[in-house]
Amino acid sequence: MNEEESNERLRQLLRLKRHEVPPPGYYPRFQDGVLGRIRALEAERARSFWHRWFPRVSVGSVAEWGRRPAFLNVGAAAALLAAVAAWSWIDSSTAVDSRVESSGSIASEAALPVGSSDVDLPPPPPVSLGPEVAEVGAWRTPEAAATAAVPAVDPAWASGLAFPSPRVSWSARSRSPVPAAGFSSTNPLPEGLFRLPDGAGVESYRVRFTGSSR
Amino acid sequence: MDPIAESTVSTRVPSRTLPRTPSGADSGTEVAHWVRRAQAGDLAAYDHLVSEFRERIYGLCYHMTGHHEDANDLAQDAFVKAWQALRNFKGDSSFYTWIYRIAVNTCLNHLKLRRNRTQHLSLDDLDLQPESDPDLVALVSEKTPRRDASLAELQRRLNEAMLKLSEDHRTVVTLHDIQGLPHDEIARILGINPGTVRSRLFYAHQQLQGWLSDWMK
Repeated sequence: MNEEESNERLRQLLRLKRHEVPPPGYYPRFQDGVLGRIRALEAERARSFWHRWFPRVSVGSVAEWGRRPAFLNVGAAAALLAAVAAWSWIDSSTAVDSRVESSGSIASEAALPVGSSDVDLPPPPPVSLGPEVAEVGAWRTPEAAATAAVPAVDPAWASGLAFPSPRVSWSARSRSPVPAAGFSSTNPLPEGLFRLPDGAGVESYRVRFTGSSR
Repeated sequence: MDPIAESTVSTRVPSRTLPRTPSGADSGTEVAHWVRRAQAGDLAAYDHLVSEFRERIYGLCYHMTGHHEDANDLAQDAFVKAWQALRNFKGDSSFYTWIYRIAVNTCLNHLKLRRNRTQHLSLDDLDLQPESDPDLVALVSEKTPRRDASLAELQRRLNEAMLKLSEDHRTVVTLHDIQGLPHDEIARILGINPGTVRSRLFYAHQQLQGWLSDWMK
């Protein structure tokens, strides 16, 4: 047998291997197996982020964890802290920069001139508005503004101060700010709330000292 | 008289006995359509692709390992890897070439890991349909129990000889002589030049003829 015949004979024998086939019904099962593995892979990928960071936690165990007292306490504390932080942020971003304590008194901010760092003023004492003006923002209507009490200033504190004539800047709609009666440059209101006469049409406002004449 | 010795040389191989290869514009267009949809995440489209190529990929893995169970696992691994890498398929080669390359690499990695272990055979049955293959007609012409014993013995010896080949030589024999791929296609799959394919085939044939000398007469 020459080389060519030997090669052909060998190829003939090897072609017998084409007749080696898997058992009947194999290929549909094979295909189901492939697709099942792919679906499992995709499902695992969907959970992979959670499993990557918390490999011991399964989806089912999260609910069980939530029922544990320790996690309830931690969760409640975290929720409370988040609520306090949100309240503080909201409170600091409102137009009125006074806070009302539960007793109804106002803790006023320091009467610092806006835009000026030359004047160093002491913080004003707290003043009591009375229970009828217990909450910032209560002067939402002219009627409420008319009936609200005017904060009184401690004369002892005021006597030690020499305030310049305040140049008041408004953020309210009215163009004619009218300070409450009885106040002058030596007995000014601390930075806080002004009461406007009736009909001013302003719901709420704030006063800032814009500079010093000294 | 030995039925194998009486076999006639035939160069015609019915297409049924060869793995179907994608040919023609329609088949390639259809496969490209499924590939695009599968790349978009359509698992039903990928199901079509698995159905199209499952026999060839399984056959490749089986002839490379001589072990049905290993072939099942490796073929499934190849299809799963192909799904995971599908978005990286740019279409530079045909999907057929690309998935064959994945399957070959999967088998070679498996064989490298098993290199130091004794390789056992777990053979599929011979599906003998003599009417479809003149070569097989010659081999099974003698309808006696001795024929079946001869064929079973031949199958075992064939697979043992294949396992004696190195992985690289076994790969080219599987792709060319068993699965009927041309040299150029094999070169594209393996990432080698066609000359290397021919030289590996020549060397592998020399070795197999020596191990199967009893059946070469």
